[in-house]
Amino acid sequence: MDKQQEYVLRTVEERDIRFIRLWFTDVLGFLKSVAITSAELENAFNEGIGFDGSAIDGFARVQEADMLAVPDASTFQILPWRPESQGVARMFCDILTPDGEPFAADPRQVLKRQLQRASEMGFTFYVHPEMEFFLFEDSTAPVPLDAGTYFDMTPLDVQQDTRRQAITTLEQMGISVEFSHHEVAPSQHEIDLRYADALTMADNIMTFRLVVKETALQRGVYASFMPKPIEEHWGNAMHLHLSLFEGDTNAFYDAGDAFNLSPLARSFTAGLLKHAREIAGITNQWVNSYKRLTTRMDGPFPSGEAPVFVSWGHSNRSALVRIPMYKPRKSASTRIEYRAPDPACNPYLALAVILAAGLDGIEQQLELQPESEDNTFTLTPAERAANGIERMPESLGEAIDLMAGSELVAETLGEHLFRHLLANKRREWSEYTSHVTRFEVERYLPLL
Amino acid sequence: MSRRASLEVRLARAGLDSGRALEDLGTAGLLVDGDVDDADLELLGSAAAPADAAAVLAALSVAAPELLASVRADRDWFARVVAVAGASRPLGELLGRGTDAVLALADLDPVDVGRTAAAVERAVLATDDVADQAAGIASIRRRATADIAGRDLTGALDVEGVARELADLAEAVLTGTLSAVHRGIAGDTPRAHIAIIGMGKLGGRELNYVSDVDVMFVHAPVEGCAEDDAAHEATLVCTRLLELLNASTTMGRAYEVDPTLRPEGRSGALTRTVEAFTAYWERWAKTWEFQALIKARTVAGDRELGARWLAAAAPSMWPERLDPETVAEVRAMKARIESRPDVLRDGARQLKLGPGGIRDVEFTVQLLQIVHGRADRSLRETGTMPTLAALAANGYVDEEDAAELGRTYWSLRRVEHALQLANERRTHTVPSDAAAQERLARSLGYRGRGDESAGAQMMSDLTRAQTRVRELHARIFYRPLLERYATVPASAAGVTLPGEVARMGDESAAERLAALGFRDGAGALRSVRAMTGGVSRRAATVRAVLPAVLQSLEGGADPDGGLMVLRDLVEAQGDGSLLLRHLRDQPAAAELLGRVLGTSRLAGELLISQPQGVDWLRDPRLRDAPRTGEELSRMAVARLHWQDATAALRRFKQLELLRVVLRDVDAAVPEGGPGSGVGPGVELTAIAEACLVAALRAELRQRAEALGLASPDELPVSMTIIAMGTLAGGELTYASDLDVMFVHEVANGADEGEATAIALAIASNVVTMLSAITPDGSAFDVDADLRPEGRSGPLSRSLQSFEAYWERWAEPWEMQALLRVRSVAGDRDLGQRFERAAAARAHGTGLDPERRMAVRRMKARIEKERIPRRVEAERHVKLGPGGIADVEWTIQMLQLEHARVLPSLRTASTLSALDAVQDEGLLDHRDIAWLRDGYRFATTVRNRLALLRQRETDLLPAGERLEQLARAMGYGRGGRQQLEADWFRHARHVRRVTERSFYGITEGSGR
Repeated sequence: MDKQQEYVLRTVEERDIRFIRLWFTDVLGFLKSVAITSAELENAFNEGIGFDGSAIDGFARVQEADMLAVPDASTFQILPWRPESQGVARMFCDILTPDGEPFAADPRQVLKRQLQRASEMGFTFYVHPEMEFFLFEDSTAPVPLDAGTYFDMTPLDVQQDTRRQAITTLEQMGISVEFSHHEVAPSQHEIDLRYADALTMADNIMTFRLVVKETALQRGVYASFMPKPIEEHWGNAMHLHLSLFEGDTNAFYDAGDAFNLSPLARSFTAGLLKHAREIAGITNQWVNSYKRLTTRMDGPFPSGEAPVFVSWGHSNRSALVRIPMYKPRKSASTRIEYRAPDPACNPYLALAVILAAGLDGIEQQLELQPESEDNTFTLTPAERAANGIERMPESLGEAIDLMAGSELVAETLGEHLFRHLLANKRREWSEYTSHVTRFEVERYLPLL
Repeated sequence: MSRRASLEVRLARAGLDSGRALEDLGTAGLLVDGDVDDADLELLGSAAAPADAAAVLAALSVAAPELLASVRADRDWFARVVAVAGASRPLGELLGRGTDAVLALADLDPVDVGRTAAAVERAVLATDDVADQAAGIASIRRRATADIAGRDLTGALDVEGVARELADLAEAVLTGTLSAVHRGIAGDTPRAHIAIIGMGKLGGRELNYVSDVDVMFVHAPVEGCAEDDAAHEATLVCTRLLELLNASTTMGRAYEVDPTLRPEGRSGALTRTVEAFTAYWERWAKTWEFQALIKARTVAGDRELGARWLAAAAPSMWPERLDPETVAEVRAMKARIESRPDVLRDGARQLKLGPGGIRDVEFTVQLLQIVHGRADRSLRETGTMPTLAALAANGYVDEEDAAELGRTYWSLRRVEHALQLANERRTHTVPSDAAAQERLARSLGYRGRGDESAGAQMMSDLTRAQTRVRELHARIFYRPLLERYATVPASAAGVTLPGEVARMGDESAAERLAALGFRDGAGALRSVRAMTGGVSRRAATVRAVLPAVLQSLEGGADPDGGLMVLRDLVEAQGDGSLLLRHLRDQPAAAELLGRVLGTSRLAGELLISQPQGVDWLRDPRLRDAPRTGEELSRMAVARLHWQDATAALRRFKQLELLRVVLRDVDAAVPEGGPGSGVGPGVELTAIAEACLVAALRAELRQRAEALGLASPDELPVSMTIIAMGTLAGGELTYASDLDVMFVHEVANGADEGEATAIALAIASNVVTMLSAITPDGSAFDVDADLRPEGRSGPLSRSLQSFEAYWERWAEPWEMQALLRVRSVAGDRDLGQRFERAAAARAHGTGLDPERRMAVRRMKARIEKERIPRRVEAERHVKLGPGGIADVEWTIQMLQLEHARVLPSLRTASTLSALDAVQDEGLLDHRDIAWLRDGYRFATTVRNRLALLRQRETDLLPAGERLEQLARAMGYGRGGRQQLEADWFRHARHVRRVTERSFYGITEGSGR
């Protein structure tokens, strides 16, 4: 029993916490929770709480289903939306096999492994995400609350209140918010979290999604992170601002470079661009994710800002990797922005493969392709080919095939998780391909 | 002229080459009237490298002639200068510059911490130029090192003293530098107290000539100063100190000061307050960090602060309850270090981390310190040797054992010192080339004796020391356990017992066994007691050999099972046991037995049934040379003179199998990691062939006798056995059946019906002879079902009958099976004709689209139908996706397609065919590597499962049995996840190639 654990036990007693939720994450990024009573807590620290791993997507096979969830005392937080007395707290867990080894297919472990690799190279990985989401009336249809009705004050109040309350809750749980605003699309919102190391950030993103959904529920509305809920509006992105630090120094910063980017940052970016297509199955893991990443240039609803082509630029909104403008004397904030992911990904796995791709670039000392100064959307296919600009996968099916051939993803996820995820995603894609869409009915039925 | 010749001879005797040396000696003024003084020459000759020493003297006479003169006037001083100059090139070079370094060697005074620190401080304060400051420190440090080396090499200082003085020197340099730097930054009004904590060998006061100097920095605000200001100042000071000491200068480098043992390593703050340390330890620290703290002591700066830090660290270092996981983690960490590729590569030449190396001694001592130091404060020493002495003084370790362990430790350290001194490099590996070894041995005082070079003597002493360390480790851990269960207590027999024995109850004995790696400590204790209890001579012998066996069982796949087999083995062998005698006299044999029993239940059974196989444990020469196929066939045939040929062949097979198993288990984990080795396929195949040859010969002979014929040659029929599949390819596994076909040829003019009947009877008897299960077990499962018409076809056919069948009836897969045929026994001429006919069918036709489709469909059907429904196909290493069949079929498809025009592809061996595919450029290199690695891995899995006596060898097991397999393959503790991941990676790779190359599926096309 270490001091951190003792602190948790004391707090639980002093604050009269009745239940503790032990959180972990399944392969697709869904939060799983085992509730224990405060009496069981000490035992959970010492021996872990056993559970049936075969019940969790992506975990164990039936014959070795026994798993242990061991709470990470440093993640202890009281859930603010629960009653003040006899309250509820949560901790994230590491999953262990019955013989006490870290379970290789635990997404949190996958990220930890990659962070360990970075740390052996001398790096700490920092992340700050821009989290986007919609607020709808309910989960049955994506009806915006403020669609075209700017004068309708009541629903707007609900939205502002929801956002404000969510931010307060997050702050109460130790998650700092950088800023927030109403997004471009109606009923869409963005909340930026303050940067943190990647493991903390992945935990924070899991918490964030729950807090936002809970808060909306309490306000009688529904929050959704679905990548593209409304055809005619922009989708939900989760732009990730990334940097590597060596000790206290930002390893991405170089005063002499045109964009203040170090050679290391350039190699990292090159690695990310090289592997962007094959990691799309992780960063954009749903059928719907690819409705966000479209190139529709004409027709009624242009695709907006979503990155579709594998390119980078410093003020280019169509680029997959954007280099934010350098602010003088702020070398610590030098970073790159990866714009592919959507907020419905599994943050542990997404950050792990993104880091692996970047580290591969560093290890191979990859050269960064030239910057794309043009809007890649306006280039002709021939121009794009001439510039060596590839397209991101057009569908989940394509993403799965690219991922299946990826040594990088297999190594990062570990063979167990990799196999499971592929099987799961292939199932989803095959279900989708046999689905008859509204598009087909509306277009073909009158004609054929 | 004669005088000149005699000088040359004398020079040569002293180890000097006359040309170059004469010039140097001349320059140095040692050549007077064309002759060298005998005493001078003898002195030079005593140096490790006399020529180097002469060159240094020459350089010195140029740089500082008067100095050289005074050195020569003092015989002992001169001896020290020559010794250092001959033993260390860089220090020799320093002496040659004629600086203070030579003066430092003038007297025998030990390093004085205070004086040296003051000198360092002055050197830093003397200049503002950072490079000059660093050079000043480096020069003082190296000068003092030369001084220590001078006394070391001339016997004025023993190895223990060397280690202590080197630590004192580091302490002095740190003290002086810290004080100067602190003053330079803060002047007379410091805001922080700073102390430097020495860790590792510095903390233990047993430094090497070239060690990392492991430190941690701790600071505290001076009263009235803000914490932030103090932290800022301390960080500046420590950073500057590291810069100065780690800088490369014209005078070399002072030290490699390494502050990464601090909390959070490289990413943590460089210096912390005591409170910050405590907070970290309480929350975050890992077991090994506490282990490192055990060696900590204050070496520089504010002593009072250091003492406060140490007091704060004590509760973390010595927790009240020892978590069993702690010991396990410490062991696992050691295992990880030892399995590093560079350590494995250098093996016994790695003095520190190799088997029986310095780390083994330190580990033994530290493990006991961790276990007992909590209750017994007298064990809380920082140095390895003081701790060992305390362990012995308090009865935890036998005094004699401790003394010997100490002596052995220092003998290893001496070699390490000399090794590092030679080039002032941090190395722990004895060089492999003879010249370098010779030089090293000479600097340790060895001299060539008769035929035996100094180097050879040193290496054999080294081997002895390493063996002794391993034995002592085992004794120290296990002896108390064994003594306790002797029926006649050692005390009654007048032997003094370590205090530990008297105190140990059953429970703690079982705990100790569990800490050492046995899953069921109580069960293991029962086995130990059964074997060692009683007054019999056997029990006494077992007590003597058990430590070594147990120690190697510890790390095995199945220590508990191995111990049980050992118990059976000891009982089966009886009182006058050859086994126990061997084990007692041959420590290496005891160790091998432990490893064998821990890895292979099969080997244990074979040892019980084949007592004479014990010889192979004893003598590596007997088991190590693989026997050729011819040799084996001769041996098998020779056994036919026994009454019962059936039993004779069984025993022959078991005995030779045991030999292969022993060698297989004895082999180190291959360089490419577990499962990347070649395996025992070729040898197993040779044994099988020998059995087939002998069985056929026996049957032919017996048939001839029954018919009243003088020799088998007069039989009306000749026969040959055709090997198929893995037997043909020389790729058998322990669990393989022997796939064969019988071919006969009726002699000219003989009665066809009668001759055929004879052939059928012989074939049937051969199968029975090898396959039937008797009290001796069976030899092999001989399987003739691949013959035309399978089980309903005749067991033997004529070549014409085969041809007719192939022409009319054969399925495509039967043609494919003909890719892998080889005649292995019987009539050679008939066999060759069969091989040619088969080759014409298999290779001669090429591959049309129709046939290609048929092969693909067949394979797809096998995948669907032959894997049992109850198992997960992905874990089927033979038929599952990415399994052995994938490799074989992919290769065979290429053979069917290309062997017609590329004769190099015509081979029955999968891996040889793969080589040919590579040479012909039919697949790219990555694909070939994937297929080869996957094939080897899957084969190793099957072989090791068979050695573990698992019934199912085609399936990757789960749970506990998966862990056992992982250990048996050479993975470390908890290796089952890694094994599983490796298998799935290989399988994925193989499957990708198979889908592309065999099935023709385009990658990324989706399915």
